[in-house]
Amino acid sequence: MRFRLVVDGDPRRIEVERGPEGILIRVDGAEYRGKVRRVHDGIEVRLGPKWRRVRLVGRTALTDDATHEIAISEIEDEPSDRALPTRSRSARPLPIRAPMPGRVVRVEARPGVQVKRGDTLLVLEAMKMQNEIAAPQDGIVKEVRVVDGDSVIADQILAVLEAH
Amino acid sequence: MFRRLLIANRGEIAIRVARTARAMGIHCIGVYSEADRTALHRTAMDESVEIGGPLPVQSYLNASAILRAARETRADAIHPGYGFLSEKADFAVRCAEAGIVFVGPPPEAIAVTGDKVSARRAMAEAGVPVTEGVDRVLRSVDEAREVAAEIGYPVLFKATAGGGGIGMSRVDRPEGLAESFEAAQSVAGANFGNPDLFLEKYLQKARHVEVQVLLGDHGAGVGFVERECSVQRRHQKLVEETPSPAIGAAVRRRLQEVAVRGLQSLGYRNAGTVEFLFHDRRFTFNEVNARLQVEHPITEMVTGVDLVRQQLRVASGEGIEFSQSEMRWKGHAIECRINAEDPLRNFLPSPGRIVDFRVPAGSQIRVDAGVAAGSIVPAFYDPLIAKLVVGGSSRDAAVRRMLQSVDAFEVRGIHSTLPFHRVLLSDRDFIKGKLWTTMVDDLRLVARIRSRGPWEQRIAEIAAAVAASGRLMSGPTVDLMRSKASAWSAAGRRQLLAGGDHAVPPRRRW
Repeated sequence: MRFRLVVDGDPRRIEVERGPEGILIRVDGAEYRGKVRRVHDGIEVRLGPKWRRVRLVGRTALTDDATHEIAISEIEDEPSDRALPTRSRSARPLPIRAPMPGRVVRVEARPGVQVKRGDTLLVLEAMKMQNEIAAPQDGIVKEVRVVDGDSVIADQILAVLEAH
Repeated sequence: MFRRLLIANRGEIAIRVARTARAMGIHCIGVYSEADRTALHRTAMDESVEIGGPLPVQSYLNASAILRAARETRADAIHPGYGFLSEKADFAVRCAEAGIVFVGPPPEAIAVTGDKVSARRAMAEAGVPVTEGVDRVLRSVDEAREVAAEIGYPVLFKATAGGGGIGMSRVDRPEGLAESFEAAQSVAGANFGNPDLFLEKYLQKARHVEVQVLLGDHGAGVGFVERECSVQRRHQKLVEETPSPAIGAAVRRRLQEVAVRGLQSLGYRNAGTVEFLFHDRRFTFNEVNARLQVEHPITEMVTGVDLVRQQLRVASGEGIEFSQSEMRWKGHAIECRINAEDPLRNFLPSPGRIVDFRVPAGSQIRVDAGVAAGSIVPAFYDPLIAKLVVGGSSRDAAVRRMLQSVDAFEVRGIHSTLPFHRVLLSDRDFIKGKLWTTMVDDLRLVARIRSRGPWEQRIAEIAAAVAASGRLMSGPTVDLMRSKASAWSAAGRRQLLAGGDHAVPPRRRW
């Protein structure tokens, strides 16, 4: 399960995986493991040494020491890539998203071209740093949605790969 | 003294320069780009002028636009801060032609120090020990191979026009030399418009040590207690301290003496820094930074000197307020650079809107920030958003105070390097003062970062509750369209989510 969660104005990309062992939460890539249980007036979560009660009421999340305003968007129910066995990844269009806002300084991917995992698709510049956006796996470039000089926002789709 | 000073910079350094200048009764004029219309540094000025588009070349690097602004606002001096136009000799020349004082060294000195080969040669002539290497541009791979064989591997290619660690390439074996040479040339050409390279012996496990120098009108001046800036990543400094835990009184005196003499030999004036590598109990010249440096506040903390005040005094002909023999310092100071970068994802840039910004306070704690809660950090500029500087009676005391201050520092809305600092400050080698320039990689410090802190753990707990509640089945609370629009709409979108003026009604209620 993936979604975007905004807590008190702070936007984060969340991935949640639930297993017999407990729950795994990724917050912008940082991993937290723990347990979750239902109690009569909410949910209790334990990620550190202590259980913490969280009650969700409308657009607020109440904990024992604070009230936070929350917003949820962009819910995707598909399991994360990491959870998938390799073969079921095939022939799925794979959107390549901008990891941060920035400016496209070089597009190397051309539609129809075969690329290997790790090949540079394009270069995004932000804060005086050039960041190469690489193909996450082998595939064919289906679409390129940006050109040199474009400004992009975080999570914007830059290109689409068809994995095979 | 000047009456009207234009500060040709942005962010924390523009604010820091204005703080001193306004306290001296000088009217401060700020400049800003289109992307910085709401930037905090504007509020630190008496007035400010828009100078151009968001890209640095359109605004903060646009010498003509800045000189026009200076003329229109009747500025009698320009302080360039660091970066941007601070080390551009031709900008200093154009200031002089316009009858405006450039607060910095003379253009001739900037030109010599800006070319690393000529700086090396000049320093060697002045009797400053230099790292083993060549004092000329290498014309071919064969020439490079010959020199490398002579001085022995590993060697380091450097761009003569380089800066910020760009264009440096380490070569461990003769087989890798040709490839590195060509790669370094193309990086240097692309970044500095000049592919010229030279070569030095690569010193393993060296410390980066530097001396702040201040030279007055006739070249008389002072050298300050050294700073150590060994904690770096990709040749970018992350943490600096003063004094160096590795240097004693005798070496300190020699470092200061050599640094002052080296800059004097260039006809240098005003503030500058001479960087050295300290290796095997010997120091050798690295480069000159012909400007006020990012890490200058640690020197101010242990000496009580206001370096910007001295810069303005030197530039206006009033001279330095003290001599070398009057110079005193005590205790220890450390600076942590707070960058808008995510250390958990390989220091990925993290521009965006800061929704909350809480800074530590107290005795011997100084925060030079370029942002506040509500600020937008644009993607166009340097990631430095704040500098946390603390002092202590000893290094241990300063390290403890820094750890406490890092814990009290909170930046929400974007990611910052604070989690990195927490890990570094708890590292055994760092605590012992055992520092070297590649320690961040060698110790795999970044891999030790597990969490971004208590605030993020709170977010994770709420996320777990959201997932467990079945809430996600009922759809988003906000449904925002993705668009192909600019980064500005991203900034606006964040404002929206933060519950700004145009709150989006929830699509569903529970």
